[in-house]
Amino acid sequence: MADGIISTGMDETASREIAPAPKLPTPTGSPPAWSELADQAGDLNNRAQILHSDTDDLHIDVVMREWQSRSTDFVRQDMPTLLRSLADLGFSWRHIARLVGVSVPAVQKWRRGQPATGQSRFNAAAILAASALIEEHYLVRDVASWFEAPIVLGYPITAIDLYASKKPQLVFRLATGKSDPEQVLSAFDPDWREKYRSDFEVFESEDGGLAIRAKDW
Amino acid sequence: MPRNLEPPNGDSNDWDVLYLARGDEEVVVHRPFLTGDIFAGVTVQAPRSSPKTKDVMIIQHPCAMRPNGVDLASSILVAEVHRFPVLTADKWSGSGKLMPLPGLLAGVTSNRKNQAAFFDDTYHVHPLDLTRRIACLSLRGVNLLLQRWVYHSSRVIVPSFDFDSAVTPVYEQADIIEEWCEIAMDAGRTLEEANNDAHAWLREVDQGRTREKALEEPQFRPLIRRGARMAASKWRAPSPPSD
Repeated sequence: MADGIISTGMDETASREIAPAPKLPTPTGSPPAWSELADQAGDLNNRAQILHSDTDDLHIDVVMREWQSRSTDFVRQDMPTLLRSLADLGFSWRHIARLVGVSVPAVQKWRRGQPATGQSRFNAAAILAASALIEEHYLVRDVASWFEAPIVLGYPITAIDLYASKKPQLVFRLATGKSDPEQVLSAFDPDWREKYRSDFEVFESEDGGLAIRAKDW
Repeated sequence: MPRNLEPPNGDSNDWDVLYLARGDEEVVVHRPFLTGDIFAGVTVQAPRSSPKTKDVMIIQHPCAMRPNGVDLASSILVAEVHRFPVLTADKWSGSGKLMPLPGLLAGVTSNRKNQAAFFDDTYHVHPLDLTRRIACLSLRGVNLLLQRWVYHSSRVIVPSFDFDSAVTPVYEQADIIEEWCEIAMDAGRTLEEANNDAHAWLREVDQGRTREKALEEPQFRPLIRRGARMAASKWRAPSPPSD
């Protein structure tokens, strides 16, 4: 699937065994050595963090598999139906084109019934599957709005940008609500703060329209 | 981070991101005129010269094109478009006197397909003289055009994402009106009627502000798109009852 964005590979997380946590010494006999206790508590904390990270990865791996399975279900619908469903969610045609990875005129041709490639049809089904999954699992209401909203206020990157850059794992991580949005952006583009820092701001001008001006110094 | 004039798509030389539509097959006649639209065969007249026929691109800001928000101004600022070699992505930081339009001419296989709009060759035209639209820029294309035009006019470089925040609501409006007209004209409304209906609907107050104003908030846009599709569909005749 050269152009597809669904990865089927599950990492070894699922089969990794977690060693039992060390037992703290019982308060009998001689008093505990605090440095030894601190080491053991630190070790326990490290193990908990690794476990947390592993279960996060496992969760996303399973979500990716579910996504693939649901995409395969949706792809049974014809292209005009898939597009109509996406439009009914509130996506614009240019966003749909971007998410599928084609031009707006290509989408307009499909709407009029011209044939699409199997890959494009699968990609359209995959957007619908991702939207359904995000709505159902993570209780995101109005999923198209969620896709279009900036991930961190004041920066223009959205879930559409993540998805269109073929990083759907980050979209799902964001949707869980458990990941720090700033960490998700750093995984997407480590330079995002600097790249999207601006000396200008958009404001509502006297005539009611939007305008651009230099920020306060 | 120092800012330069930006290329269309990072290091990529994929120019398709600049365009919404190219050629008669793709350009939708009922899409409202917008900054970055390119027209063929327009009669223009430079000071102290005789009229000539040129290809031109609208370079006026969307708000300045429609002083009352609906009707086009009687004088639209355009820049001449003609052949120009392709600038690779790393060269877009220069050539601030023009907007490169690589691959503009759909169906042309020679290098003539690569054009540019030249900011030193500008004219004012009446909108009724803009009859044959041959291309529309994408939102990304409009943002880059405004970045270059502002730089040419004032020597200031504004990041394209700031233009994006300011231009997206107007671009959304054009998208919505285009789709409204498509739906309503299918149901028998004339272009003028459909256009007026769409503008009137966008200017209606809903939940304390006009829908046009609500388009400034990204999270409201899907709601307004859905509402526009439903409202435009009311012109459709009801399906005949099945036997």
